[in-house]
Amino acid sequence: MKMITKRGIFLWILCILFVIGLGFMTFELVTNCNDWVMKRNNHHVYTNGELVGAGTIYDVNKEVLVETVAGERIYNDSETTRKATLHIVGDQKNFISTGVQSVYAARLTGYSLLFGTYALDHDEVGNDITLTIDKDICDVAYEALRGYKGTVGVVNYKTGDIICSVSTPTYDPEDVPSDILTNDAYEGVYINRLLTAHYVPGSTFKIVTAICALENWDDALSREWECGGAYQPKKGVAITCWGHHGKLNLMDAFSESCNPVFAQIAIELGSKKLEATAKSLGIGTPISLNGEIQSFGGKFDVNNAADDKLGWTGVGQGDTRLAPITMLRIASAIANGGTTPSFRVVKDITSGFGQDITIPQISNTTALMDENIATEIGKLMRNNGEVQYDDVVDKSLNVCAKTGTAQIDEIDDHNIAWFVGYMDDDEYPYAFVVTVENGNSGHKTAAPIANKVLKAIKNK
Amino acid sequence: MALKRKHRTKPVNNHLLLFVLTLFQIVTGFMSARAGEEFEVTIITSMLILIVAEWAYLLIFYSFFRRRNFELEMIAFFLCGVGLVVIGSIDPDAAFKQLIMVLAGMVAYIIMVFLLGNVDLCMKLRLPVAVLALLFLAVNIVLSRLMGTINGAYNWIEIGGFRLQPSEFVKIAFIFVGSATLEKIQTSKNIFAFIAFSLTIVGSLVLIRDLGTALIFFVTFLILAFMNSGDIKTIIAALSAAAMGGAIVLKYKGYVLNRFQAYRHVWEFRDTTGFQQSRVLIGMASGGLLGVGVGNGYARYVFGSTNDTIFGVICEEWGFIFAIALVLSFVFIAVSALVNSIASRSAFYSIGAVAGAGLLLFQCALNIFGITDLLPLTGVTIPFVSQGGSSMISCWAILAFIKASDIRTYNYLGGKKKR
Repeated sequence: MKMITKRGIFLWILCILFVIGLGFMTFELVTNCNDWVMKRNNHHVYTNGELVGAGTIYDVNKEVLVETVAGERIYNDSETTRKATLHIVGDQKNFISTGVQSVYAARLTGYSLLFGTYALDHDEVGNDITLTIDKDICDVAYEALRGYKGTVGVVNYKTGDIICSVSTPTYDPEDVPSDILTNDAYEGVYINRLLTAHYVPGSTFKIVTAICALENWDDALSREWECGGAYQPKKGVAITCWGHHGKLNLMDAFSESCNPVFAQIAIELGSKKLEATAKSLGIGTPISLNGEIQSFGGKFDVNNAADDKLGWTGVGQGDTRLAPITMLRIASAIANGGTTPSFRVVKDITSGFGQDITIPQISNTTALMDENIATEIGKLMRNNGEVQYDDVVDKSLNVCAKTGTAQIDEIDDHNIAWFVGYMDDDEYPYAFVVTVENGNSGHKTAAPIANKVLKAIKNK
Repeated sequence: MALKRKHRTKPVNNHLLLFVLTLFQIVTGFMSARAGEEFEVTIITSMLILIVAEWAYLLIFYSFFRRRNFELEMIAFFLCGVGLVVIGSIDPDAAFKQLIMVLAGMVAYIIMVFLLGNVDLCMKLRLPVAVLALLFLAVNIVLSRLMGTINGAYNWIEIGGFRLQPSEFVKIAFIFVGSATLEKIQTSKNIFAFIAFSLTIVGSLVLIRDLGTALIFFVTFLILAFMNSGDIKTIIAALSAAAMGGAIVLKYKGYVLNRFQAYRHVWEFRDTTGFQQSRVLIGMASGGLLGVGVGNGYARYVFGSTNDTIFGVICEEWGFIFAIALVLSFVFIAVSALVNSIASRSAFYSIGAVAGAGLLLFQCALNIFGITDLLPLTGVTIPFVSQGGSSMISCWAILAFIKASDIRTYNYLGGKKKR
């Protein structure tokens, strides 16, 4: 009989495999339940493709941005607010994949692995989410964009709280335009441009090039370069300038946004150093809000680049593509002495009955550069604010910034206009980024928008 | 050692156990009856009849046949009861039909246990049963070719309004013939005859496109063959033959590939070949660990919710923890069979028990892992739980092999105590 016992080993193995299988099934359930439960075919959660029982989303001042009333999702009363906050709140059908309503869908419905959708089925109350967004500031930013396609982002650089995130084109979720899919005016309407646009950075990239120079050359601030209206590298096409600047040091070149000087700097630094700085500044790495909402990381590649390409990259006109939030984070780090806290849009989550639900808060700070480098580049940006933008930005705002005008083709009106920086003000520790498509120039279009938004913040 | 033996755990009190089970079944019966808009009397009536049958079985075999081992039956009662209320909550009219099938299964079980008690008779029946099984399958193939398919498979025949699944009855014959043949002194003639028998069955099942059942037979064959020869080389040869056969089937049978395309990609095929699996996963997540309650799920509206996808309904409405406990029953049955096989009276019982338990466990695995996309979906049922008469009868009959291997079962026959 012993023989027979031994020969039962097949069944023993089958038993063990079965139990392992159950373990694997449990693992799959635990790791994927939030995803599975929010699948569009789940009738516990959706009726006719719309969320049934999700909780309320508030702005930072507890103003309702969207709530469920009698089984329907109802947005804020003001059309402006609905449009201004749409991309951060999210639409009813979760087409805006970076919207809080989409990313936090399972938690908004009050779903839990333990009880499943029981609470939703029985009480139709979900969890409530409070955002860090201030709807009044978003309204101002939306109005200031005046129908341009683009984005405005403002973050508290001490806490990482994003108080304003507006992306256009947008639409009214209570009155979805019928031609949303066909009309060019709604091109890319479902993406939050702050997080996921792929923009040429233009001259704002000179911040990166300047930081690289400061990091690598002790005499970066005292050196001088020559601008003769264009710079011809040893090989390839010349890097042209919008002016004829003559002899310039780094501060002047930065405030004049002189292309030939920055091309020379980039070429002299070389691709390796430029790449290292870009990487340490977070270019190429997605930024996550609350560790959950992911941005486009950016595209930066100067590997084996010829001189002229390296030069153009150094002035922000190469193949580099960035999401505006990447520049916002760099500005935030400069303002905050080289380090930046993690960004967030969700402040807290509470159950429908008011209990706090702790969310895993990844709130560490990341050093993007040394403190003294941050101080130096901050001085350059402050100088810009004083000598270059005083005509478009209120002096009292103490702005430290850099404009950018990324050329897409020969027509100036097609340029992407950038304005990125921060307010040097302990009471209002805010960094900002404004990006406007078809915006002509950063100075002309983006800076005045930032001016309006920052003034609104100070006057609130 | 002797001291330790004295402190053996007390045998389970059968009456208490059945009492607890009865309470569970009454509660779940009421839950199920109340699940719809109206109170469904059929469900609760069916459940009460099942409970009466359970008590009658226990009392008769406890008092008149002096049996003391009822663990296997308790598990089967539990599984059948859950199946009955889940099926009833989905389709109240099906509850009564399912009850009849459970009762028929119990009768088949009682007969089988008596039959297996008579080893000489079993040996004589070996050949007739094998021939009958093959005939049954042959009729299946011929009839199904004439009548066309049901749900893409040819595995049904209809006799007088009743749909029969011959392959289910062949399972019983297969284990019976397998254990009776291989128990004999292992002449190569016996082994080859059995291999030919197995090949014919598996081949027939592939012909009638019942891939899941073919796989079940194949795994059972492996267990039987290994129990008999103990030779790993036999197993390797059999496995490689199966791999080649499988490759040929996959190559020429587009429908199989079509069914497997959704494997690990159910969300891409969520409205076609991944429909059932995706809805089961959604149901599993929605139910969470504790379930949304009987009647509150949506997996019940998915095609096959009373048989193929019943696991999804149980997960969603009764909770994942309960569903896991339910399927662990099959591990318990398998371990019982393995423990029994050590002490059983002859190799005939050991082989039959281990093969039978393996068959039930593997079939359960194919179902629950297939429907949750951990294995390709093959469309087999959960033993004792899913709807289906042929399957219910065959599961009970197979359980008889495990019961027969328990030394305590036939104590009243010889009366000899194990030394």
